Amino acid sequence: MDFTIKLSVTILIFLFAWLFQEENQSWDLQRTVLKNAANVAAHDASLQIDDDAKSRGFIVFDELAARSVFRDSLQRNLHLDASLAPISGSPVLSDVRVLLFDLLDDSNSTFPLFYEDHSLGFSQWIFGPAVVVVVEIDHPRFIHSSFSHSPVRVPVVAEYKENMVF
Amino acid sequence: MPILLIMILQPMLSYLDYLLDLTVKANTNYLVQKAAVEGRVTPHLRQEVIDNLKAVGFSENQIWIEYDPVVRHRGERIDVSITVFRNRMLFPYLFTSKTLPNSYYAKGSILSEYLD
Repeated sequence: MDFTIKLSVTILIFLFAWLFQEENQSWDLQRTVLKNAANVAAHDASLQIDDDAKSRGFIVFDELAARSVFRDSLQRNLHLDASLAPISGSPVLSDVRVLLFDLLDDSNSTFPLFYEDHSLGFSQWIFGPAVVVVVEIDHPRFIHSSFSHSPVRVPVVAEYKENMVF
Repeated sequence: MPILLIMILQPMLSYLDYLLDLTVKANTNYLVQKAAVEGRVTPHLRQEVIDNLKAVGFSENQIWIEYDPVVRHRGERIDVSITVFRNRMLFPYLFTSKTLPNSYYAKGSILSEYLD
Protein backbone atom coordinates (compact mmCIF):
# COMPACT_ATOMS: atom_id res chain seq x y z
CA MET A 1 0.00 0.00 0.00
CA ASP A 2 2.80 2.35 0.99
CA PHE A 3 4.65 1.57 -2.25
CA THR A 4 1.50 2.11 -4.36
CA ILE A 5 0.90 5.54 -2.84
CA LYS A 6 4.52 6.58 -3.36
CA LEU A 7 4.46 5.33 -6.94
CA SER A 8 1.19 7.14 -7.69
CA VAL A 9 2.53 10.42 -6.32
CA THR A 10 5.76 10.01 -8.30
CA ILE A 11 3.85 9.36 -11.52
CA LEU A 12 1.60 12.34 -10.89
CA ILE A 13 4.58 14.63 -10.32
CA PHE A 14 6.24 13.23 -13.45
CA LEU A 15 3.11 13.84 -15.55
CA PHE A 16 2.84 17.46 -14.39
CA ALA A 17 6.54 18.00 -15.10
CA TRP A 18 6.10 16.47 -18.55
CA LEU A 19 3.10 18.67 -19.36
CA PHE A 20 4.90 21.74 -18.04
CA GLN A 21 7.90 20.96 -20.26
CA GLU A 22 5.67 20.46 -23.32
CA GLU A 23 3.83 23.71 -22.61
CA ASN A 24 7.08 25.68 -22.34
CA GLN A 25 8.46 24.13 -25.53
CA SER A 26 5.21 24.88 -27.30
CA TRP A 27 5.41 28.50 -26.06
CA ASP A 28 8.88 28.82 -27.57
CA LEU A 29 7.86 27.29 -30.91
CA GLN A 30 4.79 29.52 -31.08
CA ARG A 31 6.89 32.58 -30.34
CA THR A 32 9.47 31.59 -32.96
CA VAL A 33 6.95 31.11 -35.78
CA LEU A 34 5.15 34.33 -34.82
CA LYS A 35 8.40 36.30 -34.72
CA ASN A 36 9.56 34.86 -38.05
CA ALA A 37 6.23 35.59 -39.72
CA ALA A 38 6.04 39.10 -38.27
CA ASN A 39 9.61 39.80 -39.44
CA VAL A 40 8.72 38.74 -42.97
CA ALA A 41 5.39 40.59 -42.97
CA ALA A 42 7.00 43.82 -41.73
CA HIS A 43 9.73 43.41 -44.35
CA ASP A 44 7.11 43.03 -47.08
CA ALA A 45 5.19 46.06 -45.80
CA SER A 46 8.38 48.12 -45.82
CA LEU A 47 8.77 47.51 -49.58
CA GLN A 48 5.52 49.40 -50.28
CA ILE A 49 6.98 52.83 -50.88
CA ASP A 50 5.76 55.75 -52.96
CA ASP A 51 7.74 55.89 -56.23
CA ASP A 52 7.20 59.65 -56.72
CA ALA A 53 8.63 60.42 -53.28
CA LYS A 54 11.47 57.98 -53.94
CA SER A 55 12.37 59.82 -57.15
CA ARG A 56 12.68 63.00 -55.05
CA GLY A 57 15.01 61.23 -52.60
CA PHE A 58 12.51 60.48 -49.85
CA ILE A 59 11.14 57.23 -48.51
CA VAL A 60 7.40 57.55 -47.92
CA PHE A 61 5.26 54.46 -47.36
CA ASP A 62 2.06 53.77 -49.24
CA GLU A 63 -0.01 53.12 -46.12
CA LEU A 64 -2.89 51.25 -47.73
CA ALA A 65 -0.60 48.93 -49.67
CA ALA A 66 1.67 48.40 -46.65
CA ARG A 67 -1.25 47.41 -44.40
CA SER A 68 -2.69 45.12 -47.04
CA VAL A 69 0.63 43.40 -47.79
CA PHE A 70 1.39 43.03 -44.07
CA ARG A 71 -1.84 41.13 -43.44
CA ASP A 72 -1.44 39.10 -46.62
CA SER A 73 2.08 38.03 -45.59
CA LEU A 74 0.94 37.12 -42.08
CA GLN A 75 -1.86 35.03 -43.56
CA ARG A 76 0.48 33.23 -45.97
CA ASN A 77 3.22 32.55 -43.44
CA LEU A 78 0.97 31.47 -40.56
CA HIS A 79 -1.84 29.93 -42.59
CA LEU A 80 -4.55 32.28 -41.29
CA ASP A 81 -7.94 33.35 -42.61
CA ALA A 82 -8.93 36.94 -43.39
CA SER A 83 -9.65 37.65 -39.71
CA LEU A 84 -6.17 36.29 -38.79
CA ALA A 85 -7.62 33.18 -37.16
CA PRO A 86 -5.70 29.92 -37.70
CA ILE A 87 -7.04 27.50 -40.29
CA SER A 88 -6.27 23.82 -40.55
CA GLY A 89 -2.53 23.22 -40.69
CA SER A 90 -1.58 26.52 -39.10
CA PRO A 91 1.50 26.46 -36.84
CA VAL A 92 -0.18 28.86 -34.39
CA LEU A 93 -2.84 27.78 -31.92
CA SER A 94 -4.83 31.00 -31.50
CA ASP A 95 -5.93 34.15 -33.34
CA VAL A 96 -3.18 36.61 -34.20
CA ARG A 97 -3.85 40.14 -32.95
CA VAL A 98 -2.09 43.15 -34.44
CA LEU A 99 -1.64 45.55 -31.52
CA LEU A 100 0.46 48.14 -33.29
CA PHE A 101 1.14 48.98 -36.91
CA ASP A 102 3.01 52.23 -37.31
CA LEU A 103 4.72 53.66 -40.37
CA LEU A 104 7.56 56.10 -39.71
CA ASP A 105 8.92 57.73 -42.85
CA ASP A 106 10.30 60.97 -44.26
CA SER A 107 6.79 62.49 -44.38
CA ASN A 108 6.10 62.24 -40.65
CA SER A 109 9.39 61.74 -38.81
CA THR A 110 12.92 63.06 -38.45
CA PHE A 111 15.60 60.47 -37.86
CA PRO A 112 17.11 59.29 -35.62
CA LEU A 113 14.17 59.19 -33.22
CA PHE A 114 13.47 57.42 -29.98
CA TYR A 115 10.25 55.48 -30.47
CA GLU A 116 8.19 54.73 -27.39
CA ASP A 117 4.85 53.09 -26.77
CA HIS A 118 4.15 53.11 -23.06
CA SER A 119 0.99 51.02 -23.27
CA LEU A 120 2.92 48.12 -24.85
CA GLY A 121 6.16 48.76 -22.96
CA PHE A 122 8.06 49.10 -26.22
CA SER A 123 10.88 51.52 -26.96
CA GLN A 124 13.71 51.64 -29.49
CA TRP A 125 16.01 54.04 -31.32
CA ILE A 126 15.09 54.17 -35.00
CA PHE A 127 17.60 55.47 -37.55
CA GLY A 128 15.59 55.48 -40.77
CA PRO A 129 12.13 54.97 -42.27
CA ALA A 130 10.58 51.97 -40.54
CA VAL A 131 7.55 49.76 -40.13
CA VAL A 132 6.92 49.22 -36.42
CA VAL A 133 4.68 46.31 -35.52
CA VAL A 134 3.59 44.49 -32.38
CA VAL A 135 1.60 41.26 -32.71
CA GLU A 136 0.43 38.75 -30.13
CA ILE A 137 -1.19 35.35 -29.71
CA ASP A 138 -2.48 33.50 -26.66
CA HIS A 139 -0.09 31.57 -24.47
CA PRO A 140 -0.49 27.85 -25.30
CA ARG A 141 -2.06 26.04 -22.35
CA PHE A 142 -1.70 22.33 -21.71
CA ILE A 143 -2.40 22.52 -17.97
CA HIS A 144 -5.66 24.24 -17.08
CA SER A 145 -5.16 26.12 -13.87
CA SER A 146 -6.35 29.35 -12.27
CA PHE A 147 -3.03 31.03 -13.13
CA SER A 148 -3.29 33.38 -16.06
CA HIS A 149 -0.47 33.46 -18.59
CA SER A 150 0.70 36.56 -20.42
CA PRO A 151 0.08 36.39 -24.16
CA VAL A 152 3.00 35.74 -26.50
CA ARG A 153 3.81 39.26 -27.72
CA VAL A 154 6.36 40.03 -30.42
CA PRO A 155 7.66 43.44 -31.50
CA VAL A 156 9.21 43.95 -34.95
CA VAL A 157 10.94 46.93 -36.54
CA ALA A 158 11.71 46.72 -40.27
CA GLU A 159 13.96 49.68 -40.84
CA TYR A 160 15.79 51.27 -43.77
CA LYS A 161 19.36 52.04 -42.83
CA GLU A 162 21.97 54.00 -44.67
CA ASN A 163 24.46 51.71 -46.38
CA MET A 164 27.75 52.49 -44.65
CA VAL A 165 29.83 50.02 -46.71
CA PHE A 166 31.94 51.77 -49.33
CA MET B 1 11.18 -0.60 -14.59
CA PRO B 2 9.50 0.52 -17.84
CA ILE B 3 7.95 3.45 -15.97
CA LEU B 4 11.35 4.47 -14.68
CA LEU B 5 12.75 4.27 -18.21
CA ILE B 6 9.98 6.50 -19.53
CA MET B 7 10.57 9.00 -16.73
CA ILE B 8 14.28 9.19 -17.52
CA LEU B 9 14.10 9.25 -21.33
CA GLN B 10 10.92 11.16 -22.12
CA PRO B 11 12.10 14.65 -21.08
CA MET B 12 15.28 14.26 -23.13
CA LEU B 13 13.52 12.88 -26.22
CA SER B 14 10.88 15.57 -26.06
CA TYR B 15 13.51 18.28 -25.71
CA LEU B 16 15.52 16.87 -28.61
CA ASP B 17 12.41 16.77 -30.80
CA TYR B 18 11.60 20.38 -29.91
CA LEU B 19 15.14 21.54 -30.71
CA LEU B 20 15.12 19.82 -34.11
CA ASP B 21 11.74 21.39 -34.92
CA LEU B 22 13.11 24.79 -33.90
CA THR B 23 16.20 24.26 -36.08
CA VAL B 24 14.11 23.49 -39.17
CA LYS B 25 11.93 26.58 -38.57
CA ALA B 26 14.96 28.82 -37.99
CA ASN B 27 16.69 27.58 -41.14
CA THR B 28 13.55 28.08 -43.23
CA ASN B 29 13.29 31.66 -42.04
CA TYR B 30 16.98 32.21 -42.75
CA LEU B 31 16.59 30.80 -46.26
CA VAL B 32 13.53 32.94 -46.97
CA GLN B 33 15.19 36.17 -45.84
CA LYS B 34 18.36 35.47 -47.82
CA ALA B 35 16.32 34.49 -50.89
CA ALA B 36 14.53 37.85 -50.77
CA VAL B 37 17.84 39.65 -51.40
CA GLU B 38 18.96 37.24 -54.14
CA GLY B 39 15.52 37.05 -55.79
CA ARG B 40 15.52 33.25 -55.56
CA VAL B 41 16.93 30.34 -53.62
CA THR B 42 20.41 30.01 -55.08
CA PRO B 43 22.21 26.62 -55.11
CA HIS B 44 24.68 28.10 -52.62
CA LEU B 45 21.90 29.07 -50.19
CA ARG B 46 20.27 25.67 -50.57
CA GLN B 47 23.55 23.91 -49.81
CA GLU B 48 24.16 26.18 -46.82
CA VAL B 49 20.82 25.20 -45.28
CA ILE B 50 21.40 21.51 -46.02
CA ASP B 51 24.80 21.76 -44.33
CA ASN B 52 23.19 23.43 -41.30
CA LEU B 53 20.64 20.63 -41.03
CA LYS B 54 23.25 17.93 -41.58
CA ALA B 55 25.25 19.46 -38.72
CA VAL B 56 22.43 18.61 -36.29
CA GLY B 57 22.19 15.00 -37.40
CA PHE B 58 19.90 14.86 -40.44
CA SER B 59 21.16 13.18 -43.58
CA GLU B 60 20.81 14.83 -46.98
CA ASN B 61 18.23 12.32 -48.25
CA GLN B 62 15.95 13.22 -45.31
CA ILE B 63 15.73 16.88 -46.34
CA TRP B 64 13.34 18.21 -48.99
CA ILE B 65 13.52 21.90 -49.89
CA GLU B 66 10.79 23.12 -52.23
CA TYR B 67 11.04 26.37 -54.13
CA ASP B 68 10.74 27.83 -57.59
CA PRO B 69 14.24 28.47 -59.01
CA VAL B 70 13.01 31.30 -61.27
CA VAL B 71 14.32 34.75 -60.34
CA ARG B 72 11.60 36.93 -58.77
CA HIS B 73 11.94 40.66 -59.20
CA ARG B 74 11.22 43.27 -56.54
CA GLY B 75 7.68 42.95 -55.23
CA GLU B 76 7.13 39.41 -56.49
CA ARG B 77 6.57 36.63 -53.99
CA ILE B 78 9.06 33.86 -53.19
CA ASP B 79 7.69 30.72 -51.51
CA VAL B 80 9.93 28.21 -49.78
CA SER B 81 9.15 25.15 -47.72
CA ILE B 82 11.41 22.68 -45.93
CA THR B 83 10.33 19.19 -44.92
CA VAL B 84 12.65 17.00 -42.89
CA PHE B 85 12.09 13.42 -41.89
CA ARG B 86 11.04 13.13 -38.26
CA ASN B 87 12.32 10.18 -36.32
CA ARG B 88 9.26 9.09 -34.37
CA MET B 89 9.76 9.22 -30.65
CA LEU B 90 9.96 6.07 -28.59
CA PHE B 91 6.97 7.19 -26.56
CA PRO B 92 3.56 8.39 -27.67
CA TYR B 93 2.54 12.03 -27.85
CA LEU B 94 -0.41 12.07 -25.48
CA PHE B 95 -1.46 15.67 -25.17
CA THR B 96 -4.03 16.03 -27.92
CA SER B 97 -6.12 13.72 -30.05
CA LYS B 98 -3.67 14.33 -32.90
CA THR B 99 -0.74 12.06 -33.69
CA LEU B 100 2.81 13.28 -33.92
CA PRO B 101 3.64 14.27 -37.52
CA ASN B 102 6.08 12.18 -39.51
CA SER B 103 8.11 15.22 -40.55
CA TYR B 104 9.36 18.58 -39.38
CA TYR B 105 7.86 21.20 -41.67
CA ALA B 106 8.26 24.92 -42.08
CA LYS B 107 7.37 27.30 -44.86
CA GLY B 108 7.94 30.92 -45.67
CA SER B 109 6.65 33.43 -48.17
CA ILE B 110 8.39 36.75 -48.75
CA LEU B 111 8.46 39.56 -51.28
CA SER B 112 11.62 39.75 -53.33
CA GLU B 113 13.92 42.76 -52.96
CA TYR B 114 15.90 41.87 -56.07
CA LEU B 115 16.58 44.60 -58.62
CA ASP B 116 18.12 43.60 -61.93
